[in-house]
Amino acid sequence: MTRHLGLRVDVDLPGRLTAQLAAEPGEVVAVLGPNGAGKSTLLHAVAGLLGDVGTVVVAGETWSAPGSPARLVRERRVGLAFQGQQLFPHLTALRNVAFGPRSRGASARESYAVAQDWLDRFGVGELGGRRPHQLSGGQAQRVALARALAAEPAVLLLDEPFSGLDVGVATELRLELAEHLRAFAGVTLLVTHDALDAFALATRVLVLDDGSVAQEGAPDDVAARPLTEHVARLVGLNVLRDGARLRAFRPSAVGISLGEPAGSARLRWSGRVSSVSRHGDALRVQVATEAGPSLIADVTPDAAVELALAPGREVWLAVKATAVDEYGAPVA
Amino acid sequence: MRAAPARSAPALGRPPVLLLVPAALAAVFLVVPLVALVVDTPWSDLWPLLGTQEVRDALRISALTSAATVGICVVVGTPLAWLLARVDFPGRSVLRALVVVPLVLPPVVAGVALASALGRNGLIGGTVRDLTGVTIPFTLTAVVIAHAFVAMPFFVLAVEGAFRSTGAGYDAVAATLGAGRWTTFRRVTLPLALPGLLAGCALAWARSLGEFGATITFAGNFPGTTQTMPSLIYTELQGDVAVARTLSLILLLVSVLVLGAMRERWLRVP
Repeated sequence: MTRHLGLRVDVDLPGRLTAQLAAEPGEVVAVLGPNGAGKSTLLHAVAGLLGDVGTVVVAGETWSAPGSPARLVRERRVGLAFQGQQLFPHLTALRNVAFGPRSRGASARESYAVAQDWLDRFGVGELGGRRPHQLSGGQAQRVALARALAAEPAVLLLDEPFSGLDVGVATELRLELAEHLRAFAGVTLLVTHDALDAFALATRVLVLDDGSVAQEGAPDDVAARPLTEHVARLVGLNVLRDGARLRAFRPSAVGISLGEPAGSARLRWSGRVSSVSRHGDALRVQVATEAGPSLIADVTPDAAVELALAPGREVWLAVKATAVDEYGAPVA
Repeated sequence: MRAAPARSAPALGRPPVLLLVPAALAAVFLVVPLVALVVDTPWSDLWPLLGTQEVRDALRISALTSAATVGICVVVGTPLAWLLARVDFPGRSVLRALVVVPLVLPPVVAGVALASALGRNGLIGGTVRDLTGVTIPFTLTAVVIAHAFVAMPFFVLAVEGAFRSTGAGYDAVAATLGAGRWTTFRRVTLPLALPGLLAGCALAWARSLGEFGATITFAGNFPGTTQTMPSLIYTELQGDVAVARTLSLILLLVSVLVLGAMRERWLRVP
């Protein structure tokens, strides 16, 4: 029988995080949610940094279970890459990556060989002799990912691996990481603030809100029918909640006019423009409506000039009923 | 963007007189006695004085005991600092408070306390004498014990601060990479705290070199066995003040030299 490399988590930390998650080997689960939703807590719980947290089963090994002492952090096989400063500043890139194999009992020679191999795979093989402060942000992040993978983890925990990087560097690294994640046999949990990460890398999305799971599903489904305002904003959708019903529509489907538009009474709002920003070829206009919700609309630059759209301008928004996707939220 | 260096402060206006005058007073107060010592010392006596047995003995004992003190601080003080910085145990804050008491204790009181514990009839000293016939007070060992007692708190505080500021985050990362606590301490925590550790050594060394009160109370002032430089200076002050000054100058020079050497690397003001 082949070993099951999947992940099963049932975390119960009252006041911080209550979440269940099961993932198959090779799955990449993007963890989305606003700050303080419990994303990092989930990763720390799996890594064992929080002690007893409920149930954590990885690759057939029970790391934590109610009623029995939790396995120590060092005895769990996790590959952790935190955001920001996490490379040991006093060690060279090579020694940083070799730290894992070395700690698990490999000889110095073996460890350095493994480390060099991983640095090569991330394209930073010639930087092994540098200290972290001599590396650029992208290089340091590559070394950090190499270090996490060199420890031969059963589960990979990535906490905002691209935050703080230049857009171009982040895009490049995202493509590289996608390749490494495809080759990784275990489960990956990827905490991110970026919709692009979630939809370019993930096979599944877990949305946390206020310490519990708000939505879980395939990336496309979550992007098309988000249940939380946070994800709606991330994917650039307007989402209106009406009891248990939700209505989603694209910013490009929203029309802007100065006068009250004729037609369906339900799907129009008056309000004031709060911001105008570039979005691809179009301009994205954010409008604070009198009815409450803040909506976004995409308009052509020509239309924006014609309507003299600027913050403070009073406008009407309207959307055709056929452009609205209506769906139900699961009963809480 | 980095903050502008203090030297470009004129943009903020001139320093107020209310701060300048007391600052100048403090500076003069700290510098004048040292200048007086340097100016008033018969420099010609320096070399012959260094040749006398008494001075050579005192220098040797001071060098030996201050080095031993630093060694003891590193070996037992570092683990204590680590314990206080990294392990959450009941009574930690009480222990930290107790550990730093010698910092504020008058040295003479420290000497009396040591005598009560380790003296011929002391709490521990009595038992040691009954079992082995060895008595501790008024020996070279007693000098080192007195020095370690007053210097250790400085060392522990400096190193604990260094352990805390290097952050427990790296410890967590090391643990996820499979390192045990000893490996983490040896390969991560200690190297990162090294500047703080060296600063702690400098503090302990300086405290030991200048120690007088606890030493003379607990170890006495016997030439050749327990007479350190400060003790010798005190003795000479009763007789030949010029000799006392010259000896003080030697101690000052040694201190300044060591401080200068360390300031370069470890005590740099940020």
